[in-house]
Amino acid sequence: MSHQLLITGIGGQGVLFLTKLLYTTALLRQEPVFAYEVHGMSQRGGSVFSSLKIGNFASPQLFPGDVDTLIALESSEVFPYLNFLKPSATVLVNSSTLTAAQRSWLESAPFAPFLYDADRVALQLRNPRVSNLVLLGRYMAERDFVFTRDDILSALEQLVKPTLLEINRSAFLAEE
Amino acid sequence: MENVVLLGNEAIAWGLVEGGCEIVTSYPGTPSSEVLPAVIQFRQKTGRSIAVEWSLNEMIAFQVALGASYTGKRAATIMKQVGLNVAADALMSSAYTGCRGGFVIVSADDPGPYSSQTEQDSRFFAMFAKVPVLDPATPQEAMVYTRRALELSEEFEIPVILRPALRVCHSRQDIRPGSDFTATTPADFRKDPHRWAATPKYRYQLHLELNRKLEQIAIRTGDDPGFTWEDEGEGPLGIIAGGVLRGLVQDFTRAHDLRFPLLHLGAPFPLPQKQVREFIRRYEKILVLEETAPVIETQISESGKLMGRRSGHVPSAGEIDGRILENILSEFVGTPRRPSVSVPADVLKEPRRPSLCPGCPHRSSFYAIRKALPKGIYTSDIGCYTLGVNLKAVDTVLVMGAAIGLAMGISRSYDLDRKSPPVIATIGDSTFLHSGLPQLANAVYNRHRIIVMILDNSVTAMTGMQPAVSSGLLADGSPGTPIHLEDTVRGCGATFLEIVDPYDQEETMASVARAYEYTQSPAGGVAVIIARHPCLIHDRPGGVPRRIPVAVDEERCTGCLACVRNFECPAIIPAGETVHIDTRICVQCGQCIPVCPFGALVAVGSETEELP
Repeated sequence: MSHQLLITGIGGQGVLFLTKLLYTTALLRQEPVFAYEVHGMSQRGGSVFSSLKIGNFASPQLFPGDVDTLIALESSEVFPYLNFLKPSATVLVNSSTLTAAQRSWLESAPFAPFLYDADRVALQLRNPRVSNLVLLGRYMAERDFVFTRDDILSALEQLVKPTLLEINRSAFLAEE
Repeated sequence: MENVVLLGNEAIAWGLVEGGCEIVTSYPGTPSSEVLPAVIQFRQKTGRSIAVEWSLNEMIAFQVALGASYTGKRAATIMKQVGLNVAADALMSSAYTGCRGGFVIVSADDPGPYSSQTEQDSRFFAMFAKVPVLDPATPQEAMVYTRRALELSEEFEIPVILRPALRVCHSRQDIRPGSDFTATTPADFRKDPHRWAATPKYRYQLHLELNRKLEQIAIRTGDDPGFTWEDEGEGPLGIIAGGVLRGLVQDFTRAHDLRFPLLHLGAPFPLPQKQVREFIRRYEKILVLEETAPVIETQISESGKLMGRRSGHVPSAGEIDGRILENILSEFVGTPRRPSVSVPADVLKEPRRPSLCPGCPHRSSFYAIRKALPKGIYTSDIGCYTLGVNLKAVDTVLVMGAAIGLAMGISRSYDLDRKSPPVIATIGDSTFLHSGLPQLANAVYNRHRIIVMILDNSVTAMTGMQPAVSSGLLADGSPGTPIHLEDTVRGCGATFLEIVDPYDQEETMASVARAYEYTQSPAGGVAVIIARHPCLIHDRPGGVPRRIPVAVDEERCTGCLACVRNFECPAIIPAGETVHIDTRICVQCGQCIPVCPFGALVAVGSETEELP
């Protein structure tokens, strides 16, 4: 397998957790992984991203045009990374703060983005911090992803404390 | 052991534990800060006996670890690259004295730079000090090289620098940790004054011996396929690469199905001259890829066919990322450039700049300083509070401790011209103990008329919540002896000392005004204020003892944005003709209420609601 992902957002939105979930899933599937995380000053409410390369790689860095999947937990954090995408890339966007101009641009973009207001559903679940799982879960309910839902759920079980497992599962499996 | 996904810094920690390190010291600094906590974690996991400490600065960390090595035990010290500047004096001298137990200096580089004042190259420092340096490309290799560094150091009795760059420190890779633990050694300091206390005459002898060691080490690393090896390829261009860029070039060539002959150099100083010369001889052109200084390049004498930083083929500043590497290599392979997607300006937003967290006590301190002394000159220092630059309350940031040093020079210059603008140095509690103490003693002794405000949030926040010395907690959470800032300030001889809570803005402003008055009084000198309030990320209940929910009174709000400009709380969001409070991140500290000149930021609900 060879698959490259970018996960973007702003500090505190769970970019690192989602990255951890995905590399843990890869490890369970015995796929080699190479991830990169932003630490330090940028964490203070600034833009953050992490990258994850699954397969045989020697560097965590991404090349323009090579990314298969972009997951943006904040809508404005899609645009700075577009040059990294393959023309056929999968793009998931938490659309809660999307402006009208951004929405219309995205809807006519060459890749067909999956726009979903995950913050709204997370708030319904009374836990704004799980919007990352809501977004991924809703996408995977409708379309194919590099992993199956069962893969992700197994990794969740391994990562999350038993007391928090239910809220995380229900976020990932949330329906409309 | 089965495969685990480790952060590069964790992989280094595993290498130290497995390699039999018995003493590990560090001063936190991005991107090195996660190594010591991982050593503590692995110590617990393996049950090995390892002494650890967050030292007060890198020079101390270096000396504690080197002293341990003098007794024959294996030891390591961990810092970021600019931390090595602080430890430089000891590094230079220890190259001559050498060491006994394996002694590794982990100096984490930050090409970019992303979280540093400079993008200096620790490999260059190694070359300057004349000690060997290893440059791992991946977390996996960092683990192996850490152990090899300990072995190399012990065999040749020479300090060895391990230089992981940011992309190693903060990468994660699936790794199979080794479990071949090196046995520990009893402490046995053998007196040898010609070496450990060498006078200049013996220093010359030690220098000759150092040169001999380096010659032998270059032969050793050159013949060792773990450090020096070749990927066969074709074409007129040979690439010599080290560290992170080696991985990058491998990924690039694999993706494009290219085969460049590639010489890997994991030990760039001393350079394995034989292997390098032999490689260069075989190709028409040689491209050298390394970060951030031309360390390999400067050690190569045949410069005619060399392309790199000195020839301008590789940019001489900034990190080399995928895009830049593609540019460098496209000259040689004619890789088609991909069209870039262009996004209209109304769609593309500026990336959010980092700012102080909602409720951060530093924001309140800066606000009070600017209110009390609006015409002041504000020198500051390294830490979260550097972000006070957004509030126009930080005019200078140089190096650790320089808030006080620069303040002295600036204020004395105005003194000469018989002018006396307020000069206020802000410095965090950890930075103050790192290098502010001698600065303060100097300010007292030489009677510099400045204000020093120590921003005491009781934790080393910026680098990941390492315990503050004032808490008395040690690196592993066990109790130590607390050091109280007020005692150290008084111990330096400062007589004006006030302790305020910056959440009490009125009192803080009054204290700043009194401090300025003292600096200008005939018998006055340096005035010290300790602004003490816990970091909210570290201690939320202590940080916000009373919740004060805030709302915007839209009748009163004129949309002047004074609150955004002067207070810059990420929870206050400009919205058309007014502002709104982002309740998702507002911590209900109420500190913004006095900021609005029109009283439009108002407390709502009960002001005395206790936290659960």
